[in-house]
Amino acid sequence: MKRRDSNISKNHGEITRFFSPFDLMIILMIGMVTFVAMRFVFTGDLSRKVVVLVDGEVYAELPLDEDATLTIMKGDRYLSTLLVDGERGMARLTRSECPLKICEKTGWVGPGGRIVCVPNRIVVKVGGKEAQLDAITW
Amino acid sequence: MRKKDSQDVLRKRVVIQSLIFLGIVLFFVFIALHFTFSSGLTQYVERNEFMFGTIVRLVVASEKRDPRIIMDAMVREMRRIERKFNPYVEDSIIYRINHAGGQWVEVDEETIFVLKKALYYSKKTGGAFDPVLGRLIVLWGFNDINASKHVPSDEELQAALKQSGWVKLEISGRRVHVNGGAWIDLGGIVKGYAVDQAVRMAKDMDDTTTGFVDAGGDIGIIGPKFGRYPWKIGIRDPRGGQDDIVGVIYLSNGAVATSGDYERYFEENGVRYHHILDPKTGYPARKAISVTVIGEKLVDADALSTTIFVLGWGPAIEGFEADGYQVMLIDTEGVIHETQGFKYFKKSR
Repeated sequence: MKRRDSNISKNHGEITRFFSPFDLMIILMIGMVTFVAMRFVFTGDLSRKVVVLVDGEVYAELPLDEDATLTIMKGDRYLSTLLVDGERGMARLTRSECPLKICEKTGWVGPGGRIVCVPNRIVVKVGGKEAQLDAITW
Repeated sequence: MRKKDSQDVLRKRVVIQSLIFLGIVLFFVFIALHFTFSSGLTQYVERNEFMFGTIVRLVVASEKRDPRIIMDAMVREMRRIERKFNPYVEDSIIYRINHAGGQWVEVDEETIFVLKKALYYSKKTGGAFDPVLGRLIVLWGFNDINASKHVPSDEELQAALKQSGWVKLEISGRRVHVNGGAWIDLGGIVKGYAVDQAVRMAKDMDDTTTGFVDAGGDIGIIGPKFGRYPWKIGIRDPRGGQDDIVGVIYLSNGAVATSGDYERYFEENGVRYHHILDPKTGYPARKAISVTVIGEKLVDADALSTTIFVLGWGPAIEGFEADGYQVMLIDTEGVIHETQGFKYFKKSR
């Protein structure tokens, strides 16, 4: 028992001989940064951008922090217009060629949200934040 | 000599220190990758498809197979069902029955199953659920998202009502017919059936598959999140925006369907006319603005959410609860009614 205690204190002594408290702090920080970075890299795109999908295919990707106006077309046919408000970090669809204008009524959507226009098969996803819910029943 | 010894010790110390340092960093990387891929954070693949006049979102993960292959099969199956039961395309089975001039039509077992399921709810609810409202739905323009919509005249409504009603649908063995010029429209049930079939297919392809299918807000669960946690599902606020909710439920399996007066509607003279028609009057049902039903299969939850939307909150709900369904209804005053068991799903377990 006495012998084991002396081994522990010996090991402890070796660690502190090789690493100063500052070194240990750096190692801990690198570990934490690595851990957090890995989770962000592999758990989905959390970058601040607006992704426009038409017919399930990526139509355009725009940064969320710059004002932009994007005309969405399918061949020669006009579908809708996407507005990005860079200052507020929000996006919306306007002047849509669809009968009920449900996509327009959705209004401005921020990070983690999305806009859907069923008749024109448009999905707008606003990145930058993980959605609070997995789905919404409606 | 002493100085050289001390330099050697210092060099040795730096080398060992660097190696330990590198080892520790690699250890952290390994731990991070382990947590990311093996336990807490399985990679879910998401896909959006437009079917059944709405957006269908598939979220799938699998340990044994590429989730994209599973999703391909699921989408194919749902598209097959959509085409087969779409009453408004000429090569569908329902179109053939509707346009057979009242003659008996021989159909397959799947069609018999879906039609019998629909008739079961019609009989059980005294016609509050009605799969033979095609004429009325077309009259209002709710059969096509791009169709122009208007409030029909009383004469038009009465004529369409005469050509509607589940009693006009008869099944005999593998043969079906509708009489009186009526049209079958399985819109209140077929989307739920398609999701159930897609969920079953995903599990058949790989029993480790988890995720869910969200067909325009009607959701069938394939398996719990990361194999162990319930999915967090918001219930939309019927008078709020697309992302506003009135509550949250947690589902690890089963299904949830919601019917609301905000899904498909138009306004005329300041009045909202939505797509859930009362089979008795031919007008949009006015006893609720939103009904959510939790059940084992989406085909049943889908049919019941429409039925209860027409019936309103009343004694019939107890019967549905006894059959294993949980219900939340928001009435026209905005008051929320819930079955006892519904509250259970609002708590994370």
